[in-house]
Parts: sequence; C-alpha cells; structure tokens
Amino acid sequence: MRSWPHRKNAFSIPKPSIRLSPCTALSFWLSLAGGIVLYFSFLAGGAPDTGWFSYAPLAERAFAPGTGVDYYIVGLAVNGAGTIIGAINLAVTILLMRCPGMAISRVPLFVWMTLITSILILGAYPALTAALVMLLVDRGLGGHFFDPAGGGQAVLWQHLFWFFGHPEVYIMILPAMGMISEVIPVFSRKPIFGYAFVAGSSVAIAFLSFGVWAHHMFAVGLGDTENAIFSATSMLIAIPTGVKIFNWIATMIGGRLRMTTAMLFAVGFIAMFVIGGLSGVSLAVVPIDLAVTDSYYVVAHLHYVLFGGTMLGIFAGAYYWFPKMTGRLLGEVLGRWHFWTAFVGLNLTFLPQHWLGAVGMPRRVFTYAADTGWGPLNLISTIGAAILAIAIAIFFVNVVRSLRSGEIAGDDPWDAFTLEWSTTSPPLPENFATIPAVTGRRPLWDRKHPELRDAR
Amino acid sequence: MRPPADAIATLSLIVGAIALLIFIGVEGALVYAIWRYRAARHVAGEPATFERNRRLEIAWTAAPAVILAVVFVLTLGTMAEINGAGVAPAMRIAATGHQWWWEFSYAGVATANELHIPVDTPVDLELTSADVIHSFWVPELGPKMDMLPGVTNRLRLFARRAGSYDGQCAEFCGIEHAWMRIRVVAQSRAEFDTWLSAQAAPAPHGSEGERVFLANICVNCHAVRGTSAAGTAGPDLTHVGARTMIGAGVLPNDVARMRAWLADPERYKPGTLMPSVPLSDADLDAVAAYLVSLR
Amino acid sequence: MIAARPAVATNRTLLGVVIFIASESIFFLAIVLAYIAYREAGLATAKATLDLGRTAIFSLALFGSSATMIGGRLRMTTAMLFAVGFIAMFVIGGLSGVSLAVVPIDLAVTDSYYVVAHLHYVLFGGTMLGIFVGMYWHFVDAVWVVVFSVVYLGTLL
Repeated sequence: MRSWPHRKNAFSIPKPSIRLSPCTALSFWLSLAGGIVLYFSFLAGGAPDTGWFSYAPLAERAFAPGTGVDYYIVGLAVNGAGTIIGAINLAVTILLMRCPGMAISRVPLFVWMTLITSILILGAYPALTAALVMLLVDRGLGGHFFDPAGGGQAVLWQHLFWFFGHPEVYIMILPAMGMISEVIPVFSRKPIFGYAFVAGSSVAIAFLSFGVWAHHMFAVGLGDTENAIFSATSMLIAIPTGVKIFNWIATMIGGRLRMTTAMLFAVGFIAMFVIGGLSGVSLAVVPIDLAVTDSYYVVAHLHYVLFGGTMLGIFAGAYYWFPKMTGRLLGEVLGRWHFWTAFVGLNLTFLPQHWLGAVGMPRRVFTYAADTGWGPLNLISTIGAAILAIAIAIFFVNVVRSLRSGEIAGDDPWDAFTLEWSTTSPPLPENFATIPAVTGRRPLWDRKHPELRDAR
Repeated sequence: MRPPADAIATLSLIVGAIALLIFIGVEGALVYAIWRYRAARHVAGEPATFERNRRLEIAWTAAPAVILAVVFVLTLGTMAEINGAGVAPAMRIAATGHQWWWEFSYAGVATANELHIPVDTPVDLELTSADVIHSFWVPELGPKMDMLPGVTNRLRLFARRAGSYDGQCAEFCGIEHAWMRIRVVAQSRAEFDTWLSAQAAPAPHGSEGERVFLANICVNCHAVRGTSAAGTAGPDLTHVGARTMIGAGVLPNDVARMRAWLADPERYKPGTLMPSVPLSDADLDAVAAYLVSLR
Repeated sequence: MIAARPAVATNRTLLGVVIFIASESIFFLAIVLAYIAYREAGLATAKATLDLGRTAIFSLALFGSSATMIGGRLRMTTAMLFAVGFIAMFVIGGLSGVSLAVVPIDLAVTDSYYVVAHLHYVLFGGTMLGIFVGMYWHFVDAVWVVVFSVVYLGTLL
C-alpha cells in the first residue's frame, strides 16, 4: 500500500507531524493561494465592497459591477478547498494514527477540539462553496439563483452562507478552547475536571451548530415558527458551552495555581468568554435580537467571543507552546505587559459598544449624526483600540526578543502532563527517538509520578 | 396595545438581570479560585487530584437548561406581542427601500424618507425593496425588519408619544449605507390627517423653476404629481419642500442647501445615483426655489 | 483484533476519501436543493433546452468511464483522457443552440457540476488520492444519477 512518508512516526499527542505529507502541503498552498487571490483584488481594480457576508443581491453583477466580488468568490473557494483538505488530514491523523495506548478517550483535549473542528469544517465549507458557485454562475453566466426578477430568492444566499457561517464561529473558538483546556490543568497542577464532559460538550456544540444558522436571520422575516425554533436551538447551545466553563473553573478549584502569562491569558479567556456567551444568549431571544441585530451590540458580542475568546486563547497557547516550538521561553515580563494591555484594551474597545448598539448605533456606517450622542463612547472605543494595537506590538517585540535571547527552556519548562514535553525543544524531526508508552490521559505525569499515576 | 419598544425593554431588563446574576456568579467563582488557590498560599506537595463528579456535571447542565426554558417562554410571549397579535392595524403603509432612500406610500400617495404616523395607533408597514436588501430600523420604536426584493415583510409600529424619531437602514446596502436615514414623525390624529390631505394634493403650477425642472433630465427619475414628471427611480418630489432633510438625511432642507445639493450631489453623498445636472446659475436658483416651495 | 476491523478503520487513505466524499455530498446536496426550490421558475427553459436522449447516451459513457477506473492506477491516464474528451463533447453538445444571454438556471447547474467534478477529479485524483480516485469517480456517477433524475427526467413531469 502507498504510505505517507511519516508513517513510521509515532504520535505522542496525535498532533500530526506531517510536514512531509503532500496532503499538508496541498492544504497549506491552496489556503495561501486563496488568500493571495482575495488580496490581489486590491491591485486588480478594487476590493470586494459588499461586506464579508457578501449578501445577494448586493453582490450581484448589477449592484457590484467591479471584479472585487469575483476575486472574493474564487479566493474563498480555493481557500475553502485547502481548509477541507487540511481538515481531512487532521481527522484521519487523529482517528487512525495514534501511538499504542493512546485511546481516543485519552487524547489531549486540544486534539479532541481539533477533531471536532475538522468535522465542522467538513460539514460547513461545502455549503459556502455551493453558494459561491451559484453566485459565480449568477455573475458570470447569467444565472438567477439570487435574483427575484428571474425566479430566484435573495434569502437563499443567507441560508447557505450562515449554514457555513455559524459553524465557522465554532471552528474559530473550539481550537482556542482546546488550548486553554491544556493550559489550565498544567498550571493548576491537577488533571482537567470532567474530561468526558469537556470533550462531549464539544460534540454537542458541533451537532447543535448546524441547527442554529437562522439566528443570523431573525429580521429577514422567516416567520414566527422558524424564528422560535432557531431561538430554541441557539439557547440550547449555551448549555454545553456553560459546561465547559464550569469544568475549567472546577479544574482550578483545589489546585496550586501558577499565574504564568499563559495561565493569565487562559483565565482571561474564561472571564471574557462569559460576557460574550451571555450577550449571545440575549441575541437568541428573538425580540431582543430584532432590536439590536446589525447594531454595535452584535459587534461587541462577537468581539468578546472572538477577541476575548479566540485571541486570548491563542495567546495562551502561544506562551505555552512557544518554548516547545523554539527551545526558548517567551518573555514573562513583556508577557504580563502584553496581557494587561490586551485585557484593558479589549474591554475599553468593546464594552462601550454594548451601549452604543442598545441605543441604536447600526453596524457598518462610516458616519453618524452629531446629535445622536454616540461620540464619547466611540472615543473610548478608539482609545481602547489604540491600546490593543500596543498590546499586539508588545507581543511581536516579545517574540522577536525571545527568539534571539530568550531563556533556554529545556524539554519540560512547565512540569507539564502531555507527551510533547517529553521530547526535546524543539522536537526531533521524527518527534520522538522511541515510541513513548501511554498509560493514561497524562502520560508524562505518570512517568514523573509513578506513585500518583492516573486511573485512566 | 403596548408599544413594541416597551415590550422589548421589559424583556431586556429580565434577561439582563438573569445574565448579570450569572455573570457575578461565574466571574466570582473564577476570581475566588485564583485568589484562594494561588501557589503562594499553597502548602507543600501536590494538590489533590479530584477530577470528576457526576452530580456536579448534571447540576450545571440542568440549571442553565431550566433558566433558558424560562427565557424561551418569555421570548415566545414577547414575540407574539410585538407582532401585534390580536390587534388589527388601523393603517397600512407601503415602504420600499432603494439605494439609498426610502419610499413610503399611503394608499398611492407617495412620499420619501420621512414617515408620518398617527400616535396611539397600530400601524403596519409593508416592507419590500426595489434593489438590494435594506432593513427598516427606528431604534426608539423597537424592532427592525429587513426589506428584501421580491418579498413583502410586515412590521408593526406603535408610537405612544408625539414627536420625531430618527433611524436608518440597518442592513449593509452599498457605499452610501450610512446616508440612508429615516425620520418618523408621530403626530396627533388631527395633525396627521391634515398632513396626509396636503400630501395628497397635486403640486401648484406656474413657476419658472417648474419649467426648468420639466425641461431637464430631472423628470426621468422623479415624479411631481400634477405635472408631466412621472419618473419612479428617485423620490417623489410632489411635496419635497415639506420634508426636513434632503437626500435621506445629508442636508437640512432650505433653498441654499437645495441649490448646493442640486449643483453637486456627489459632494454630499458620494456614490449617489443622482447625477449632477448641468444647469446655469439662474436655472439652479429657480429649481431650488421651486422644489423648496413644494410644501 | 486488527483483522476484525473494517478497512475504513485501518486504511488512512480510504478513510480520507470517505470523509471527503461525505463532505462533498453536502456541496452537491446544496446545489440540487437549490434547483428543486427554483424548479418552477426554470422548468419551461429546461424543457426547451435540455436534450434528454443525447444526455442519456452520454451518461452511459460516463458510467463506462467509471468502469475503467476499477483496476487501478495504470489506467488512470486513459480514464482521464476519456473524461476530458467526454466533457468537451458534452459542453459542445449541451451548449449548442443556447444563447449565452439566456442560460437558464438548470443548464448553469449541470455545467457547474461538470466543472466542479472535473476540477476535483484533477485536483484530488492527480495529487492526493492515487488509486482511490476510482472511488471518487464512482461518487461522481452517483451524483450524476441524482442530477439526471432531478434535472433531466424532471422535465418529463
């Protein structure tokens, strides 16, 4: 049989070290090519100017005569193909290429979340590709999928787009949730609380996320029955999300907390994601959504989820795994500056936007009347955004300085639990010199503390 | 009936209070965990490794479910209320979104950008679009509703207090989305009836401005009832002088600004579909005066 | 123990192809559903422009090309030539007499299906899946059976 070149590799955490796989290369280059096509539109006569959601019929040739939307279509389709191939690659790796002893009930939660994310990608992206193909047919071949005058429906685009678009939100947040599910136990000196529930709640989120798309469309006029159904499913998704938060906090209770920069970001994730989650529930309440959808309230909500959630989670992961990736620690002093400026900046930027939306400031406007009184809160938001920019700058300075002169990390700087910390930093080309033994969910802990070995 | 905005405000307070309690509880637990279990307070040795508790898991799955069930029931009730369930509308007004202005039609009497409604009266807007998707939103009057081409949506309006309410398009509809403002004028029934009968009357004749207006390309897009101008691509101008703003909110409506707008609409509303008509200074003066006189 | 597991639970490439086909099904499902939703609007043009008999014969050619995929990698280039020739024939036959300005939704659907199928065939067949491209080609047959039933046989109703 044909075998991928890395077949002999042992997978400690089944995080793929598949740098030689043609599949990985294809995924990467297609994704990059898609991005370049999208950005090339700026040089080729104008960016896509119909919003990231590109609602039809605004994106039809009649209302968007430039080439921007065509680049949007091709760029996203190519990028999507790369993403799908990457998801297949990760799913197959996780399902079939675990090392001996690494049962699916023992893989690290980051890997669990990666598996769920891959499944979401495989279900969601084809719907977007289908919508993009239809839009391309409309724009290039005289089709009428989204043109009411020709028998089509404008709302079809929204159904397909959000069938992709809402799972996409979980595609963005679940990997970050996986990262902090690794960081919190290590810096609490405890195993994750409720492993099965943290993993299982992701399955529930994945399942439900394909049934909530029309909560982006409450104001479209689908009818009360449809709105009520999608309101109910959207509220349901808060339950598994809450389960995750409770389990993270329960992991910290009774532990011995080392508040490193990675842990600060992980805790910041929980604190901010709670706000995004609660405002999310309020948006599932149809009458409230009808009042504040397409306003700054939604902008605030999504940024608490995607900046307060995803970005802080990614930063937690960056500080946690940087030593494994480079062999040097990412500076803790600049790290603390990074965390606190990001934390203050994001709250200054996005908290006032809840009020702006509630009093009626719509999204996607470049100007508003002076007598609306929205000026002061927007000023606070602008100051917050500047502080956020400083935070990101601090991060990059920290990365550059640490790469050059950071403290040498050693194999296991955090006294961690999972197998990647048992190999060298950075890892060997084949990851491990010998295939490691896996006896439980925390194989490295078991090795370091044979007398306190985990039950499973 | 209760104004939809009031019903939504009540529901928002309830949901907000629940959310605040959960927020305090969860963030409190988080802060407590950080303070109580920080390494500095810890005695020697590894911490206890309790890692699961089925009862706790069931509890924190079931408790949010119960809270959400309550919220969902409240949601259903308010949904029915803001739709005006059981209360027949006293009036229907057709509203059509255009890039980037609003057309309102009172049983054939067309006007634009400023919607007049009587107070204490349930009014149904019948919403559609002539081009792309727009969304009708006047925040103080409550919910918004999208305007889709080929579809007619319904939005119940109910204003308790007389006065002027500002809103604007809430669905990104192209480059001038920000300059697609709405003004809703809620009036007593008598004032409203006076306004409507004035709007229904044709425009007066005989001015120099009228002659210039009818002799130029203005008539391709605009209608003035009582004259030969019957274009439908732009706003009906029969009583444009009675509106407070020009160009869906870009300028206050007076002769000087009307003249400036006509001379160069692109300057005030870049991307507007209204071309600047090449007119002599005298003709510009005449048309501006004519339009503002159409009250 | 390992012998008892089905091939899809041990063979990575096979599992990859199965996952990919499952994912692709959603793509085709979305387009076919859109066609069904708009059938009323497009039926008259579909009846006027689609050639049931000729397409049925072409379909046999498609299934024939699929049969050549059985048996492995060596025949792949032949199959590919066959497929390319077939697509060229179909495009010429299908588009003849159809004015570009009035391409109806239905034709647009079938065209895009071919383009996408072909694109994926080359992309994945050539680079990633090796001998398992045969499976994808069979999947294309299955999609075609659905498209032929819904779009072409649908004109008879």
